[in-house]
Amino acid sequence: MASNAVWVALISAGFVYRDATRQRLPRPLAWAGAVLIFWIVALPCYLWQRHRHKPPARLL
Amino acid sequence: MNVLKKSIRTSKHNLILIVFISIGYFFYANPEQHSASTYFGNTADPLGFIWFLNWRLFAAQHHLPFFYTYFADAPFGTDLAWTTNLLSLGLLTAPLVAKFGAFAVYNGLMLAAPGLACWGAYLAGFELTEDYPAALVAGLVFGFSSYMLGQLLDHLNLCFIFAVPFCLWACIAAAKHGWSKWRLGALLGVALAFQFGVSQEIFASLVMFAALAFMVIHVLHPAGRPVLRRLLPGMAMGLVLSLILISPVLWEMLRNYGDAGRNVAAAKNYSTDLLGFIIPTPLDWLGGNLLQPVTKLFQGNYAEEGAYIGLPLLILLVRLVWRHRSDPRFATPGAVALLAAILSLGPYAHVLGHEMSTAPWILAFKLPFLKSMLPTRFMLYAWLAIAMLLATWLAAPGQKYRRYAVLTFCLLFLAPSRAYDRNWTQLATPTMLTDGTLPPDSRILILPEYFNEMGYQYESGMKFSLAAQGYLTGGLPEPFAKWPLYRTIFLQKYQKYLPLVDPHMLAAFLATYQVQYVVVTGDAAEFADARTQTAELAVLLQQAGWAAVRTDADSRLYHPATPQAVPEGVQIAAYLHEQRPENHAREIDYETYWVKAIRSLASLTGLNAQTFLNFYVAYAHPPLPVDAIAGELW
Repeated sequence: MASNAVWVALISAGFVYRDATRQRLPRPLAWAGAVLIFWIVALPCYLWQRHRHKPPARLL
Repeated sequence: MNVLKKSIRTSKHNLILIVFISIGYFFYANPEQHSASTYFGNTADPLGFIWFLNWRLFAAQHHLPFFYTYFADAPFGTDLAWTTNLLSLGLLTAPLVAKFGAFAVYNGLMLAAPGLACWGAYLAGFELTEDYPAALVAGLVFGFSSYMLGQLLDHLNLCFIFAVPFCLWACIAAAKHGWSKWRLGALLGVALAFQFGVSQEIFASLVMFAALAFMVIHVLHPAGRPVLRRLLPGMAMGLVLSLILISPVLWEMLRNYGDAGRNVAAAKNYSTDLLGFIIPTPLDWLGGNLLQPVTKLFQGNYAEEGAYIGLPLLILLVRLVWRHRSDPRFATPGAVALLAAILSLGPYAHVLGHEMSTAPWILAFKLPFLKSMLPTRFMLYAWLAIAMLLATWLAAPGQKYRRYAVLTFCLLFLAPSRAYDRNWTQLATPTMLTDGTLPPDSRILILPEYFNEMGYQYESGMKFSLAAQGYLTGGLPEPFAKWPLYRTIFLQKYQKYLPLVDPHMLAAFLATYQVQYVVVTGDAAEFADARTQTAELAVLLQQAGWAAVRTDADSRLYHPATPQAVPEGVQIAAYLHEQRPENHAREIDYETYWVKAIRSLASLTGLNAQTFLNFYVAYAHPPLPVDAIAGELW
């Protein structure tokens, strides 16, 4: 039985891959891999990166 | 002129070695008068090392195998290849052990270890910077790092790490002076083989971190790639030479690869806590005791907490590396230190002992050989990189006194606690083990299990073998651990269930392995107090048909009152299928809880408790009669 941390990392990595692909962020697989092996550092980094690459909100 | 300069430089290096050794000696030497059986350390681990130092000499004198002994875990014996067997130290110090005894040699090696580690890092720092004060500081930072302070509590194999900085020095010197691949290969080969003989684990992690550092330099220092290419053949030759030198031991290890899983602790239990980098342990003078309620939550034990860098030094290091990130002299050691620190987090990152996240070592912690390394010990390489980084910074041109002042302030937070440095222990061996009471080559058992038995055996002159015990390996020895009573008798965690051990099973266990004597240690007060393990074991042995044949102030000797027949295979198999006492105790606790809960529920609702209990007995089939349990939960 895998540790809880592994399950959390697996689910997060899946979401990160899906989100990075939809957002057209560079290297979605690398981000998912990073989240999988070092969740506590890679996930905040991804969220920060995602925020930086967020397209400007439409006014209309 | 060059010869004269070289000679003066060598003399200075030698003088500095004496200074470092003296610092280590004066800091850790026993201030009190001590006997020949006093050792440096505060647990039973050093007794294993003392036993191993003696084993090389003893095995050679008695034509016994180097990597197998019947003196522990008798009658089957135990393999010593996957143990902390100190092969090279044992071989090199055999004449000294013969002359002064293994206790004295062990103490001498422990006292020399920090000084030698300092000197190795000093040599590497000097080769890197050509600056004496900077190299001296690098030596002191490495030799008295948190890693060393922890391991100096009781692990000779992990603190005698001179070869690690020495290998770094050899590589730097080869790059700087253009050594031939043969010279570098010969030096590295001998150093690596020596380190393997001290600790197989440090050898493996050294090779791994050398490869990682090589890759880091390749990536961060493109201008240095030709130098790396020049060094590579020498480094490869060094590794091959060391593998040739250690091939007999390697062969033994490969033949007994199954022991690796049994003898080595789990990586996830010996990983650095994320807060371990900034929270001091009681080994540190400033704040260590104050924060003990926090640090006791960390995994492993204080000997393994080598990660404490301290907030001021951490800030200084981050600032230095960030400011000089384009300079490979800073970026490279910074990256290696960061890599080692991240890998030391183990397969899962913990905060105050709680698993919080996956960590990069998760990719490696199940792989063959790599699984036998404890990640927390990778901090050794982080400290070496930090020492080199600080030496580079201190030696850089510009105003230096301010740098030394800042660093002194940072290092103040790493100052060792005086309460932990002089941790000398006196081994009190029971008189009956040393005065010739026991017939030669007796097979005995020493209880309660305090893991001192290897020290007792050495003190007795190896006059007896230990049945089903011997603190040379970790884990549970087979086939003894198959007996349901094994954990209850030998593991501290389960010893509270001793009264539940079946005396007939104990008698059968002792007869099966032909134990001739059982020595129960403890003074008269312990034997008189029924709650102590000593008294409980005495009662258990009497019930098993063993009688006390000699009573001393510090122990009692038990022998079967009547000759005990070796049980038949069917009987042994029946015992092996019985329930373990601790499981039985757990079952009783569980049932007690349920019966009381049913009664409480009945009294709260005003219903008849007996109806519920009859229902419970009919469908849950509890192991105990419910009438034997009295009372309610509330």
